[in-house]
Amino acid sequence: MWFRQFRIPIPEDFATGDPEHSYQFPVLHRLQVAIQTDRNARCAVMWAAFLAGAEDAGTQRTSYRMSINTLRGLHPYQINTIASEMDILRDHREAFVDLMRKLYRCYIDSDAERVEIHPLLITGHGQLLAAGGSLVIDENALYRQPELAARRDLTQEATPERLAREAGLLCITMPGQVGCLVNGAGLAMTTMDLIQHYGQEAGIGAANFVEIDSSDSPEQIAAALRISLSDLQVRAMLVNIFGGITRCDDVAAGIVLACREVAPTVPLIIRLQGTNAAEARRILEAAHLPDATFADTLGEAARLAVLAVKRTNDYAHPR
Amino acid sequence: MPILVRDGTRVLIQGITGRQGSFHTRLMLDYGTDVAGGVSPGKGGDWIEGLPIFDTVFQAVNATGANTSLILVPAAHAPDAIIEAVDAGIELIVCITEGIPVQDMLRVYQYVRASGSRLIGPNCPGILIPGHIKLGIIPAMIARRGHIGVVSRSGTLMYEVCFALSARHLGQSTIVGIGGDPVKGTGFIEILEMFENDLETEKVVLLGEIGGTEELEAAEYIQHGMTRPVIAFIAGESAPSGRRIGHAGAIVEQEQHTARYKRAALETAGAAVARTPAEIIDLIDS
Repeated sequence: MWFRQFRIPIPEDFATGDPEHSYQFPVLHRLQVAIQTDRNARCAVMWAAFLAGAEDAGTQRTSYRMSINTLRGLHPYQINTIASEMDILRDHREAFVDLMRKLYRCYIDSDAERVEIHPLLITGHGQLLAAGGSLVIDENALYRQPELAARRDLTQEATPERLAREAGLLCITMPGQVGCLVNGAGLAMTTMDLIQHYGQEAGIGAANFVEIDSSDSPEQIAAALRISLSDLQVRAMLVNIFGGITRCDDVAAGIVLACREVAPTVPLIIRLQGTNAAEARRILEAAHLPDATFADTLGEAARLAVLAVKRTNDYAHPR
Repeated sequence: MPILVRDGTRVLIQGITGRQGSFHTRLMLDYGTDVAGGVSPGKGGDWIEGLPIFDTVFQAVNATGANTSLILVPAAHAPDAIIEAVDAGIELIVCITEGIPVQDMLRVYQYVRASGSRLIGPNCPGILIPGHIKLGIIPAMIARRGHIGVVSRSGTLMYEVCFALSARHLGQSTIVGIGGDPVKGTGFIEILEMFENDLETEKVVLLGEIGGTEELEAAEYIQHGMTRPVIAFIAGESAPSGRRIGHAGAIVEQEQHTARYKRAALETAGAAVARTPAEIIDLIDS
């Protein structure tokens, strides 16, 4: 989860300590320092780099890194190593070590994925000045970070995503035209890939995907369908469920429930495979849903969804 | 011999009294898995599905001789459950739980690594050895006994692919879901290594996705350490970058994390790379 970055505006020539300006201290160095999770090394990494002149990101020179086993914690020697490699002057060492310790504390205490100070200014008076920074919080940890969770900026989320969150579901929006209701992230990505595979030439792709879960009730499945359809870009709706633990007949009941409530105005392509798929088909056929098509395979479902979008585009079907 | 489990694998369910716990315990018993009992703090002495419940993993291990544990407890308690299993000397720990904070997993990973235990997951569907043992939530109906090893970061995509394989009489030796989290106990390389040394596995299907660089390291291993043919598929080509697509680990932050980049690396390494799930079957046949 991102929080907006803060940035103290600094004049271009501030870094040179231009005497014309009223700033009283010259800046010796501009640094970028961060502590972040390194998923490959499965540890945290402390990282620092000099920034060139008054330029910003993109002009970093060598970066200095130190892995931290968070089970054992951060040891002062690790900060000393970085300070020594960076040739941080003796006068500034103490402040630097103190700052990095606090940064690590912040990383741990706020369940951050990344905490960064950029730029960190080292002044001629032995002071360190954090002039900007950012903090990325692990969404899985928000349950134990109530203060941070309360500061989430909901206005940055698209409407269907917010609606999904409120309903305890996950929704990701994209720029395409096909709404997708899929169980499982990997299958959802594959479904969207196939839509792109068949639709790319015509500029057709997925508009959103709402993930459903094996424990979802027909009511929750109906909510998921409503949320996906609430996206006004959607010109066709694709439901792709591989029933393992998820029962296809539950999903079918949810679709029927949702269609009764929202009466979708876009074509519905349904592909249910796996546990209780035959029963699900019976439920859906008995409900006589308008403009619903059934597909047997994932590829066929994606192809039909693309065709449905083309059809509605051709007739300039108003919604 | 299959991979990861052995004769004498005896299973404990941590979180056996939960809704998911009791449901999946039943399915595992039906499959013939040797489930010895369960753990649920405060409910020791009770019985469920004909199995004894213990307060702690230590007590359960002492009483039953269990050597494997399946964790189905909520995310807030799962890190402690894993560490308890490690301390009790459990050899193989399979953690199904989704939503564990990454920093907890950093500590747990280091803890497990320093022990003799192996962790599969978290945020994974577990292991299925068709006709032999079910250790997790992989539905039995997708599988068929055979000689293809399957390893995947995603659950339902793996079900989809195995179901299609089984329908074409392409059975599986072992099916392993390693999980969709950024930090997990066991990665692609370790499972590929096991398949390489497994006499029952002839070909391997690897199902990767966007995010991280695991598939690139797997490609390196395939190139230099594997003789068995590998057929790979990477999900998430159409996914927007900078966004987490359902799995905590599925996020593109650099070019190396993209499906395109991973596919190219696997192709260079000599793996057969499928563009669609249906193509996986054609590539196995050829």
